[in-house]
Amino acid sequence: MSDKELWPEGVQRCSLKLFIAWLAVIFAVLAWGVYAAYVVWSGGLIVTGMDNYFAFGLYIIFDLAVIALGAGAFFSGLLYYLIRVEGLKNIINLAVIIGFICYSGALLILTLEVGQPLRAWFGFWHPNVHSMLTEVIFCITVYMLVLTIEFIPIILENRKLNKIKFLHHMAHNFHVIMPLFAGVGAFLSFFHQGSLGGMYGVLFSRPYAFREGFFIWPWTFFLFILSAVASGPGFTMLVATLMEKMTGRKLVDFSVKALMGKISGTMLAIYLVFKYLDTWAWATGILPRSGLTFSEVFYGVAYGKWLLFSELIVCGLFPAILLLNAKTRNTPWILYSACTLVGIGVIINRYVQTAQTLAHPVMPFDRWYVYMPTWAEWAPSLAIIAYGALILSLAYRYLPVFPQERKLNQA
Amino acid sequence: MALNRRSFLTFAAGGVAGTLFTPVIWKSIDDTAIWTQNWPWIPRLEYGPRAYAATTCKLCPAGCGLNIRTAGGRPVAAEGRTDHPLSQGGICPLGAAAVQLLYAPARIKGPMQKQADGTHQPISWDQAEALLKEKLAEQNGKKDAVVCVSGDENGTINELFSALLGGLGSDGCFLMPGEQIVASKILREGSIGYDLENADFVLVFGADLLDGWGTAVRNKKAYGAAHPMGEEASAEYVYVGPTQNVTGGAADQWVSIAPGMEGVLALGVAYHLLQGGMTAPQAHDFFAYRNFVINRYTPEYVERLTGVAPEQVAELARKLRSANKPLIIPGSTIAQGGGVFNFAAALSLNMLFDNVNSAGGIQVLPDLPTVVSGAKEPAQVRAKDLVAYVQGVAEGKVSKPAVCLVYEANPLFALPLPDVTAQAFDGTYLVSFSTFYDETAAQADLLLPTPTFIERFDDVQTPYGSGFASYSLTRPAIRQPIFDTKPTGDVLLAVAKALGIDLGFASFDKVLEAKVAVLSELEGFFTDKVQPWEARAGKAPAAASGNLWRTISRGAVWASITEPFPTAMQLGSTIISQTAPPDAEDWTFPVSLAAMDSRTYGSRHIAIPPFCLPLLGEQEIQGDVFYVWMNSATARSYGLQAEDRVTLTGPNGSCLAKVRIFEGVGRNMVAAPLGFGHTAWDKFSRNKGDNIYKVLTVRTEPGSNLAVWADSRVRIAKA
Amino acid sequence: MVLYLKEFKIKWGMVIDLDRCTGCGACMVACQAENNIAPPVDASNKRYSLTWLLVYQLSNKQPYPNHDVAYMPRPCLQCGKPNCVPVCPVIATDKNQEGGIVSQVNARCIGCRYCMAACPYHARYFNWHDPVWPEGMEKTLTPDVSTRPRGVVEKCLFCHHRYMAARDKARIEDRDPNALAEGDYIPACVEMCPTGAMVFGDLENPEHKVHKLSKSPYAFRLLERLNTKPQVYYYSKREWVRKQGDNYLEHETVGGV
Repeated sequence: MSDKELWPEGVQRCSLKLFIAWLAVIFAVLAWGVYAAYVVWSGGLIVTGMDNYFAFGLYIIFDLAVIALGAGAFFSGLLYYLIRVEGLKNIINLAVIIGFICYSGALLILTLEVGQPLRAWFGFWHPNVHSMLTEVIFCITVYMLVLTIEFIPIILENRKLNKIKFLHHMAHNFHVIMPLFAGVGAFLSFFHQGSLGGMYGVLFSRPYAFREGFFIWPWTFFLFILSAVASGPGFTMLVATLMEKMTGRKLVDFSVKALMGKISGTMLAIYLVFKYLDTWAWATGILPRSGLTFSEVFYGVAYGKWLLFSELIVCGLFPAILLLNAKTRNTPWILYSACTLVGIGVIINRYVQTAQTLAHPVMPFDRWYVYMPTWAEWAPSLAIIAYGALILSLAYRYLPVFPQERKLNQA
Repeated sequence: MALNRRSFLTFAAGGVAGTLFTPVIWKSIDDTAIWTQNWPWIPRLEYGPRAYAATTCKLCPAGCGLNIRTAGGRPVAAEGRTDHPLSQGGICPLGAAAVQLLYAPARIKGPMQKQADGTHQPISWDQAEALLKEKLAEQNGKKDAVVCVSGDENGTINELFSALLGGLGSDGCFLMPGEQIVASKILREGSIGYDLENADFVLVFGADLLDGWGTAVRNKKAYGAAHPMGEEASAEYVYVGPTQNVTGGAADQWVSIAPGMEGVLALGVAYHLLQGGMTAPQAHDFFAYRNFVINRYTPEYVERLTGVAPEQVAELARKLRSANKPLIIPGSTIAQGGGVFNFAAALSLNMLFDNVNSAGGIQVLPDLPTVVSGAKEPAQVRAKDLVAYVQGVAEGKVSKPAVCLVYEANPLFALPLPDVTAQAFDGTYLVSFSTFYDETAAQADLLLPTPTFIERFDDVQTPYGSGFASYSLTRPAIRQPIFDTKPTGDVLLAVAKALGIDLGFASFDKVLEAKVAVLSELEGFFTDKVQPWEARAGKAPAAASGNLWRTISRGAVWASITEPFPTAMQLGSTIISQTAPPDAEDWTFPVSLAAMDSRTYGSRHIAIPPFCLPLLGEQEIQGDVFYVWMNSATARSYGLQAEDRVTLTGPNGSCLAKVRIFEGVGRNMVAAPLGFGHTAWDKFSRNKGDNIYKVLTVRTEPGSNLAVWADSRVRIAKA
Repeated sequence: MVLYLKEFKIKWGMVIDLDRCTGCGACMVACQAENNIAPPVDASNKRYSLTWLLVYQLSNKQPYPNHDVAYMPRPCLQCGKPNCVPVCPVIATDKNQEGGIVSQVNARCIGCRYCMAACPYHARYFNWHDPVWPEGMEKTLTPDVSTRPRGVVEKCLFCHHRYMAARDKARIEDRDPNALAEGDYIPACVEMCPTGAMVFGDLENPEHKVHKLSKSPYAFRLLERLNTKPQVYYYSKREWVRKQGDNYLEHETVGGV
């Protein structure tokens, strides 16, 4: 038995048996996540590590992180379709699929995160136009549709499906209008990436998160956009590399990867300028005005100053230099490491913005608590990663995701 | 056209798309959201006309007035009663949780008998009463073979117990220990009251005035009135006690001394007053008192024993002298187990200021006349020392009682050394009238549950600590008791009748009616217009008249400030010098145990109610381990840190706890809450913390022969 | 975010005397009974317990014998400029009714908990699980406040049902429901306080005690400089208490006298 006729033309894939074995591993993790979802939906969020102090936990941190890392989709789309950075056409499909995985995964997690998922649509029906979260709900959902539309032509290009005339034309037409969707996607993404940051920045009664800003947008609005576009392309490139390692096949030319690294590095540098300014203004302005000293907002290991140092220097300045320097950027292992650090940096940022904001006891007679996620939070998060692996595995096996694959693997 | 795959897919896709244009999907989404707002497993509200029933609380001896709010006849909340002088609209956490206690899982749902295997099995009331009658009949005429332990300090029910026991030839009617027994050694008749409302300087020795002592809610009201917001305080409160408990924390000044040292400090203050030329010519024993104090309680001596600097003691004396109406309140921090020395020494300061029976001073309050024939006088019942008796039985010095009746009390938990108590009553036929499945009920041979005070008639006479004599009724706020319970008064009357003992009444209601009837022979007034402390300050109330039963049974409070009998004033020099403790240090048990009794932890016979659990702080209990408190210096000297597990060991037992560092505890002391460590009850209060009663030390006070345990000492070690 | 600031002619508020509060907790129990909060089997973990009103213990952090304590009851402070209201994506909480009470509509709440993240006072609580009453105890539910299922946020509403009842009573008695006298409307906690440490009334009405008390030099609001403008004031003659109430830095001077 073979599924060879479904493979993209001219490529080699592993045996169906091995593929099914791999899927079995994925489904095991998925099943664990589904069980956790059942427990949470049927009994409430008491099984999580969230509590009265930590209204948000791993679910939100995970969502924010994957949405940031999934930013490769909109930003590559923006650069490719609208600014016409041609080199990106070799990785744009992957960027779209990763974006699709990240956003749909985030939405799935959100159904666990909200206490009353069956009422979640109230966000559309009774929206509060002042809430950053309303903006997030709207933009993410609409952008999810955009990503689906962007994903559809890739699916339709499956060898079998593409033989159907109607679908073939449809895919073609989708491609023609794709710049429009890329534009819409970029617009939506700017807003929800920004609003996710704005969500924290508007918390004027939480000095750790609060930021002043521009018009109705606090600085975190822009910082989140910039940090997302700085980490997203690098992450896309890393996923491509990981797939290469796992399949043992060359998928993307190194020059494309280096280009992605260059984009990441450039955006990171821009981001850091603002981030440093922001941190300085926060430490010398907002904190003392709130009656706090810089040291007071850090605590122990979980919320220590080492996180700030790691985020701004080790995962900020350091990889920015490596990525902006052509010599280091063109050395594969340095490129990969630098992009990994950028990814870690953005995860740290989303973690502290969420957990440390909530952990910091604003009332002077209150105390620090440390948030520890439980299995009921890890399981769905891992399941979303498994879900991503599932989509990527299927896409890789059956869809022409990598235009360069055939050429690169001609021995 | 045959249905091939493509047309099927087209059909399906079209079908899905088409459905979106029908209301089906939108309507079901909306219905689902509505369903989430009406989940069937979440209790729905029941409506009904609302009403209030004015009553008097019986959960602790403070005698607060409560308004039970009902909706459709169901009690839903306990509120304060502004017209009740003992609470004036205020409420304590225990009282506030009273209604929900109706349905506490720990309630005993009907009469039960202990089986051979130790379990309790339901029986009928007829069987139960017959059984009780049979057990009592066996002991009829045998001297002191039947005893009773009552946790109700203020109820007329005690008359039924003492009369029934008297009819059987027994004298063993005991109250659970309280301040009253100590007071009764000073005043043989009537009780001592404190006119807080009219005092402008209140010096409290030991008594946790604002929490577990006496008329706590009334005390709080007086304290609050004396500290009006936005104005200068009209009275200063100084607390002399081991910890910044509720009283120590709220008082304008806190002087920390070890439990048991109150009397020494009081006499240290007296020293300065006497040196300053104060006299008490009205007291026969003034010179003896003066010599004793001046010779022995010198500033140096007092400092050595109490650790309080001489200047601070002199300052207290100065403050007292500059006050217009100083009031000195003696007591023990746990409102039990204090000795005569501490009590009399602190009380004597009042005599120096000649404030007996004057506004803002201490008062002699009458006992209301008894109505049940054969009942003992309250003063006689109060004077009986239950702890000494139990110790005597345990040690074999006193014969073991054959039958023990326990009413609204939990002696197997809340007497010092509960294990010794259990041992003393081992083999005794134990009858529990408890409403709840408490530790005593769990061991009892026969359970005859009385309804909660919200379901029964009862009464409260002048609680200890009140500044005036009073009487108010407890009345049911619900038509029928929720479970198969029977008021203990009625059970006693029925059993007495079966035994051929005539107590003179057919039902407990009639006893209460008779009680109210005797009030008309006394000088008293209703508190609707003039409050007792206003009367004490000179405002004349109108004498109570008309149908007293009708008025009181509707919630009115009867009060009296009449001096019941002329009292011979004495400073108590004889009893003070006889009971004065030796000044030897105890090195076996080096740490003073400052036990704490708070209404947050329930009362002597009520375990922490479900609704009070959220009140316990993170530093009071974590999971099932509770905390004992000490200051950082004490902790350091025993090599302890916050959150360390420690054992507290007394001569007869030990407790496990965690360390809370609280700087409001005096030197070399460990503060520990009573009321934790229940083993019976229900999941809300069971297995939470440990029972501090286990580590108390009972000693006999020389000179008074009273059992004393408020000044217990322990050893502490890291566990 | 001045967008959401609305001024009211009536502002219900409290002044809580921290020198008079003894921390007994009667207010907390009264609140639970009044607002139909299910009793927890274990409330020792404050991170999960549900208490609309919570009494905090404050310490002057001095070692024995200079130690001092104060107790701070914390209802929802009904901020004049609440951070929780603008962040709610579904308008389940709002501050737009005369009186200035921050509402919470449990049937509208989707349980995103953004409002909890916004509230620095921890005045908002989430139903981490369904409420459970021991068998029969559900009969003691008052008819005034709906029960809440798991998954929604709830908070103190200054016993809003009592406000409605007081307004109805005024209408029936032909009085102006917008000119309630002091004492016509009082939340359960204030009514039960045994020391009278809590005073309640209309902050804007000079005839109400809170009007003058809130302007006392000893009055302060919790974390005032975050600019949430609470309608609950605290009162203490002790400088350390006032200082602690608003995170004063070493070199800063304290409000009050």
